Amino acid sequence: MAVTVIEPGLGATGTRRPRPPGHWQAARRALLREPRRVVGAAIVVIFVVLAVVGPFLYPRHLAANANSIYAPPSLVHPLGTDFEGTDVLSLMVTGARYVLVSGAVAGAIAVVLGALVGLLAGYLAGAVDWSLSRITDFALTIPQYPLLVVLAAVVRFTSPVLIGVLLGVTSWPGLARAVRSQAFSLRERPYIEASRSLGLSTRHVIVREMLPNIAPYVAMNLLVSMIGAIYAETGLFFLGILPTSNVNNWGAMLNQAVFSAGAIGSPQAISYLLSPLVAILLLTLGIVFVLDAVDEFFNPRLRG
Amino acid sequence: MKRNKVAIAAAAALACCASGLVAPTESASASSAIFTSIDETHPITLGAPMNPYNTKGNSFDSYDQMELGYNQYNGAHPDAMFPALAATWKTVRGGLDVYLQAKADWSDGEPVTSSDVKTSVANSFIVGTQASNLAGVTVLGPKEIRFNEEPGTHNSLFAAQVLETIIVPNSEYGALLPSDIWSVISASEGKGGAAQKAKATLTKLAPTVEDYAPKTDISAGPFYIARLNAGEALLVKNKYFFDASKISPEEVVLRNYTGNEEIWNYMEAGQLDFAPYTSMPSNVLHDVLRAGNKELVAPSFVAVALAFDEARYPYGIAAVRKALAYLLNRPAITKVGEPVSGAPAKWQTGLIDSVSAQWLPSSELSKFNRYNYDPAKATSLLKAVGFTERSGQWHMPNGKAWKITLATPSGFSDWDAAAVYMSHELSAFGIPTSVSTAPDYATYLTNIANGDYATAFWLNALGPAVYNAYARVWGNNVTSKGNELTTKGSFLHTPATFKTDGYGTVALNTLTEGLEDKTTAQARPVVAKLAAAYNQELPMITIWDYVLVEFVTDKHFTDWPSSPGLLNNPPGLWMWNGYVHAK
Amino acid sequence: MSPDSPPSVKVTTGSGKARWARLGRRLGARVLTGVVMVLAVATLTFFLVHSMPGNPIQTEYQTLIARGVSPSLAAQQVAGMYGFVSSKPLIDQYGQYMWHLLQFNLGKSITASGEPVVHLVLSAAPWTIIPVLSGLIVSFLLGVSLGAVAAVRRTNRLGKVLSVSGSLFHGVPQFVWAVMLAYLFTTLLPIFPFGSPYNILDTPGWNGPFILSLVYSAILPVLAYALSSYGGWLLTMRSSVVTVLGDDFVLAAELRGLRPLTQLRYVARNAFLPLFTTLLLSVGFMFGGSIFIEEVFDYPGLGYQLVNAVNARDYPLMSGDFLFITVAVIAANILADFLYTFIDPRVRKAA
Repeated sequence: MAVTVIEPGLGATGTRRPRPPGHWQAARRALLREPRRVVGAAIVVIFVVLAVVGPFLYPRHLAANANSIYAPPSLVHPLGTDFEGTDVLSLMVTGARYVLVSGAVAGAIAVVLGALVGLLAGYLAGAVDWSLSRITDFALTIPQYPLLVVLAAVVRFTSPVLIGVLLGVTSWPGLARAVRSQAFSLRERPYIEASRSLGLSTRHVIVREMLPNIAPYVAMNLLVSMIGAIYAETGLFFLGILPTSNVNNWGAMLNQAVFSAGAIGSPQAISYLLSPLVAILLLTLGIVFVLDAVDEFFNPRLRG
Repeated sequence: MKRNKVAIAAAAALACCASGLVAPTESASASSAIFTSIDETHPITLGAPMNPYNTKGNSFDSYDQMELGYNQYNGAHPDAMFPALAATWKTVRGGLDVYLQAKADWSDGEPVTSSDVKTSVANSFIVGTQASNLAGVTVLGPKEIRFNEEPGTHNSLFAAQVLETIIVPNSEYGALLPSDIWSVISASEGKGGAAQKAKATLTKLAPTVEDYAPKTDISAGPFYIARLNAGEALLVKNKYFFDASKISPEEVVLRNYTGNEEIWNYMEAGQLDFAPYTSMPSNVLHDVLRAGNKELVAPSFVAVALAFDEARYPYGIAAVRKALAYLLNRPAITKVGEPVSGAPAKWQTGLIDSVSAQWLPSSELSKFNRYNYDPAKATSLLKAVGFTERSGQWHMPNGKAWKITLATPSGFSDWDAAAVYMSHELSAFGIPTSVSTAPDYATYLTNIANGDYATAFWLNALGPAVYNAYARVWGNNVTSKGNELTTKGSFLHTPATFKTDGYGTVALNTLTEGLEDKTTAQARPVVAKLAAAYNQELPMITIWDYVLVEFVTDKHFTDWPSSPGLLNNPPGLWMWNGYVHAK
Repeated sequence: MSPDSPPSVKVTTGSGKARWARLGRRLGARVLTGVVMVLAVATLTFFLVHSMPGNPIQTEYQTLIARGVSPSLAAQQVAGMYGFVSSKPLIDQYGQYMWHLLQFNLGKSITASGEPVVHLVLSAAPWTIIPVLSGLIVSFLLGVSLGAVAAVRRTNRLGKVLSVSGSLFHGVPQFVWAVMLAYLFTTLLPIFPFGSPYNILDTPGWNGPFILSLVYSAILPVLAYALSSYGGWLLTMRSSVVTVLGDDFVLAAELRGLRPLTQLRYVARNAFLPLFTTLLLSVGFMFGGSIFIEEVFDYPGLGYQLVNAVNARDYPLMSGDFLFITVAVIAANILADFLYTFIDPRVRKAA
């Protein structure tokens, strides 16, 4: 995973109170402090909008044309055409949904699993912690990409949601470990100790007292897990481990550009290669800039 | 602060490595006597032995691996062979007499003798690749050996199959064989318990032969392997080769590859003197030609078809298969899928077009239905059998909406592109079509064997022997389950007989299986029947014939062959047949 | 590395001998856990791999047909695989597999006609391990030093540029790096070779041209590994240094009037500690990335072998590669844990 888990600010967590007032204002301030962060947020928003409305902008079956294969960029086809003469721009726009949907599903699953396991282990400690930690360790030990390669050959992955589930269930352990160590320190706080001595249920303490405390951190990791899943997904399509035909996905386009169009060595198909590459890079750029703001928000000393 | 010193040393080492790289060494590739190529049937596997019986063994046909003879790929005469280690041969009563090249020597200076051939034939029995109907061998002299055919049998390709035996040195492989090997082999040819036991003994010996790793490469070919790495193999000239004077390159470098794009990249960089057949899009062809490569073109004995499972509704209806043939614009599909090394199939005969022309007189061929693109014809055919079109969607006679799923394996970029294009065309006609891609070829074949697909891409029209072509349609090894290749049963579910205009009832399976034993003259009338039946029954629609397009550069070598027979064989063979000379 | 291990390193008292004994016990326990994990992973892979659809012999045969090989030749080629596809019940195969595993025998490859998997894996392993480690070292040194600079200079332009570069480099996926490098340096500016670990015309051994060609062929993969992990080191080091900079001992050093360089040394040493364990832990991530990087550069290491084995349904080879990569990760974890006890100043002071 190029992006795994953002460690909580090393010095900042110790002093935070539950639900500090002005939480969201601080976040907004952090975002607006640098213009590039605004640009980043704008990029992310544009991609999300594309994912929602993109497929409605074009007919369900994109037109093919055997007489204009790998056409260079032109007014009709701003990004050129692909192996069957379909407009690359339309593929890019309609493909955003597939990429983002599986990313979102994977991110959500990873974050829910990771936070749940981490909180339970950290709060309950003892035997529960021991067994959950062993499971986490085991899952962390298995290298994710090789595992995905083997899994993808066993299970038939046909929908973006299914791929999201696969990526989600293989990428939670990092977050679980980080949340666990936070939960450990939260556990010792006076107000949590108080709730515990009042005899409040585990569920109440975890959901009402501890979760709000780590919520921003978890939210941030949602973004991180999403981008990680998007990379893994496009990467698997790129390798051809996930079947690429009839799939509208940037990774599949990259696969076809490199392995079917020979675009690495063939200048004619270069726009076909660069389009998905640039899309992935742009999305990365957007998310990295947004994360920059989030990071500062959690680790104010970085501001200097 | 020990740590820092280590770090600095590491950084310094890296820096000096980096500075050494500023001037890349170009000198290595300057020598023109090095022939650089790729063996498309044998990529390099580091760690595998230099053993031709090993599936991934590092042994390269026509370079350091030699057979008695090589197939001439003559569609009209499938048994025509090029001499190799066998100088001549003669069909005699009860078998074939083979005379070895008088000057054939191994790369260690020892002569190639009948005992090498005998050991090699024993090996072929052990690994199960012996010619069909071969009973055994009789040594007639140091360079003369008889291959005995089982009494009472006749196999029209006996000589061809016998001559394709790979010859390995007795000095290396002889010691692997038990002393009673020939009595075991002859016992295995009988029937009953003793034969079963003997067969089991042979099977048990197979790993010994297949895993054997010679320390050095002893070759009877024009080259032997000097060394290998995971990406390349270096072969140097065998000065003891029987036609060594005709071999121009001093060294051969063979490169590894896993995907076509690797071969394209090498060609675009001008690094291959000879590049084997690869499927490629036209933009790559353009770049490859611009980089100074030129094409050598010959027919290739394989085509791709859209095959139907006739047991699945509605594909058992002949009119449906024919309608689809009229709906598929084969020239356009070929342009998308296989623009460079594919030719849209002209006649639907179950053979590639060039073989059709050799076997069927043009008066006959002109009667064949060509199924050229004609949606109107498709519409009338479909309506005639009860299909209806309502608001842009075709419905089947049973009232349900007609939808098609075209199956392809992942990784076959040409099929994939063609299938996607076909799906768009058929959808536009009113039959919503999608492409289902199996994650890889292995899964695809399993799915086919399990009958999971109604319409699937299928290689057909194999050759050069017509038997191979029709066995792919009506033979008993169309698909298989389990680990063996020869299990009966076909996913196509074609009828056993078909009433053919002009020929009456044609027994498809029986005639196909009978083809194997027939001479060319005997086979001719059978092929006429089967071709007509294929054209009328249309069990599959041949989309395009593959064309063998190979590439060479004139940078270091010239004098390339042009005959299809040579082009269908690897370049080592070209060399001792008088081609490929250093500039 | 379990999360509670760093705090438990507080082995601050006792004689040297007792400390060694403790260390030995600790190492023993870690190795035992590691072995259990390897066996668990082996079990998982065995069943995963055997639930794959597809038949290796059919695949090889039809692949040869697709390459234009005649049916008789193709049958001849695949005949070498017959003896190596097991037909025993799965549970028996599993028992045999585990029993062999305990003897460091990973079985026999199907597609390579029974060649021992251990042999094939070990042939490929150096071509992954060496570039991965080189890439790791390059990116670590570069990332850590620039990260320290970025932290100290975080208010001015240089610091900002460095940390933005870190975020960007960190964000770009490995396969995108690989594709970009391949395009830039094998096509646009064709100065690096691909497809071979060294030029076959150079005689292997301790000679200049061979070593040069070895390094030259590894440059692009190493660069891809390095670029994809450099950003992570920079960011981690930067945030670690920033944290340490606020600590009391730095303030004290400043008050004592120590020279800035000495101060930086204090800071760097303390900030470096948490990074060290991450260094070894990231070996796993790097090994995983080999799948993409080797595939793009046709560099014949473990990732390349794994992807090919999956496509050819060579179950034993697939499991072997997967297991080898996992063992490398586990070994790196144990090493990280063990070395940590040596370099942690709290432990050192006691010695």
